[in-house]
Formats: sequence, C-alpha cells, structure tokens
Amino acid sequence: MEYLISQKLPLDILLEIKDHVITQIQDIQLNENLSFESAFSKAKESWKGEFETVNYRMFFPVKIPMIAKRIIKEKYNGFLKKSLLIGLIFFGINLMLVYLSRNQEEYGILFRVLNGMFLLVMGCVWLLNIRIWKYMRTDFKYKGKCFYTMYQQNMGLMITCMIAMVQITGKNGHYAYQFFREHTTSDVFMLLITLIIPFLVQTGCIFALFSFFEHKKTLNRIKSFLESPAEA
Amino acid sequence: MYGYQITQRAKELTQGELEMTEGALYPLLHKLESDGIITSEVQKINGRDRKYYLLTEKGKKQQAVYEDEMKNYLLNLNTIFNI
Repeated sequence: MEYLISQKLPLDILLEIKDHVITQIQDIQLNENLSFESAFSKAKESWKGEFETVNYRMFFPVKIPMIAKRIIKEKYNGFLKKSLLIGLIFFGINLMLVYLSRNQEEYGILFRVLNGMFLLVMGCVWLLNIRIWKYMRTDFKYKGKCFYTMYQQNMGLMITCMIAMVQITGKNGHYAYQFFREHTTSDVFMLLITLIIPFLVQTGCIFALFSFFEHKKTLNRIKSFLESPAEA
Repeated sequence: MYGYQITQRAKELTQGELEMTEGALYPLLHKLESDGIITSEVQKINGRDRKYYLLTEKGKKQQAVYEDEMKNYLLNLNTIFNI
C-alpha cells in the first residue's frame, strides 16, 4: 500500500489500482508458488511504465503518473466535449436574444440575466454542498500531496469562472447588439471579445460543474475506503 | 467484472494471445463509463474495496451491434480467402 501511495495517484484511481495489484500479487503467489516479495517485485515490474511521471500541463502544474494521465484525459475529454456543446447552445441563445430584444437596453438586461444564471447555479451548488468543501483541498493524510479524486484539480477553475462571470454580468454586451441589429462594424475586435469571452467562461463553468458533481459522486464512493484502516 | 478479472478473462479466452496491459485497460474502462456504455459500483470483498464494471442497457445494445458487425466482417473475410 505504501508503494502505491508513493506514486501520488489521486485516491479514486489508487483505490482501483490497489485492488488490482493485490489480486495480481495473490495470483502470482498462487500460480507460480512465489514468496510475497518475489510476487510483489513481479507485479511492480508490470506496472513500472505506468507509474512513470509525465507532464499534463493543460490541467496539472506538476508531473503525474502515466496511468493517471491516460485515465484523466479520457474523463476530461468527455467533459470538455459535453461542456463545449452546452456552451454552444448558450452561445446560440445569446445570439437569439440579440434578435429577440426590442432595444439595446433590453438586450443588456437579458445578457446579464443569461450570464447571471450561471452565477446563480454555481452559487447554489456551492451553498447546497457546503459540507463537502473540506474535501476540496489537497489531502495531507498520506505522505506527500494526494488528491481525493481526479476531478478535484478543477475545483479552482470553479472559483476562477465565478469571478470571471461576475465581471461579465457587469457588462451589457452592447457590441453584439450594435453589430447584429444596427450593423455597426467599426469595432469588430470588441464584438469578438463580447461573443467569445462569455462563451469560454460559460464552457468553463459547465466543465467545472461536471467536475464538481463527479468529485462529489466519487467522494461518496471512496468514503468507506478512507475510513478503512491502511493495509501493509 | 473487475479490472484484474477482465485482463485474466481476456487472456484465458484467447489462450494467452491477448494480453491486455493495465495501462490500456483502465483508460478504456473510464472512457466507456463516460460514454454510458458501462457503469461501475464499488463492493467490499474480503474487507477490500473492489470496483465492478457492468454493461448498461445502452452498452448491451452496442455489444449486439458490434457483435453483428464483427460476425459479418469475419464472414466476408472468410469468403474472400476461400475464393
């Protein structure tokens, strides 16, 4: 167990791999009639490449084990795709609001309501789950830094997105209204900023929310593991 | 089935021809879980937590489709090589 903890895997991945390695060692001992030490060395050898640390700069500032990177990549890619899709829907709604508004002031209000909705949802999620916020920081229970789940890394993104969303809600998106409704083409750069930044922040919020709920779900799953005594 | 069991079952069914590495297995399982093809549940076995993977209804349908596709593919290959 100490060997696996030293690989600095998030606890959810550690839980799964721990069972695999123990079963593997037991199988080797039984089938090849080897001592625990020899079977452990053999199992360790088969996992060697998977525990080599590699960079995953998009999400992690420090090197992480190869197997963790592969698993996290698969999970995050799924979230990213879904977040981008939902983000695009809101992008479409934003454009629709430009045409549905009777004037620039009305669009300004709708723009704020649309983006404020994200703030409201994130705020509610934060408040309704206040009890699990102690599991948002790195766990120092074991030697070295250890995350509870592979999604925990994105919790900082939730706060960043909320701060960015507060800034966006303070704007009124008038560049978009002027471009599409009044055909003012003088400030295309600001138009792009007005359209792209909210889209990116909304996508970030959705991604952070997906990560949050998976984090919560996984925490419940590993709760019993955290409470059980450590094995040798 | 759980992770280690899957590697052993694949090895057993193919008489050692297919050796699934752990590095390939777990990312694939997590991808399938994200896609809703499989689902997982943790059970306590001999005081140890074990994560079991189960096919979802969507997964069962997909399995039937892939099985049919593979059977047709193998049938076609067989026809070609027997010309």
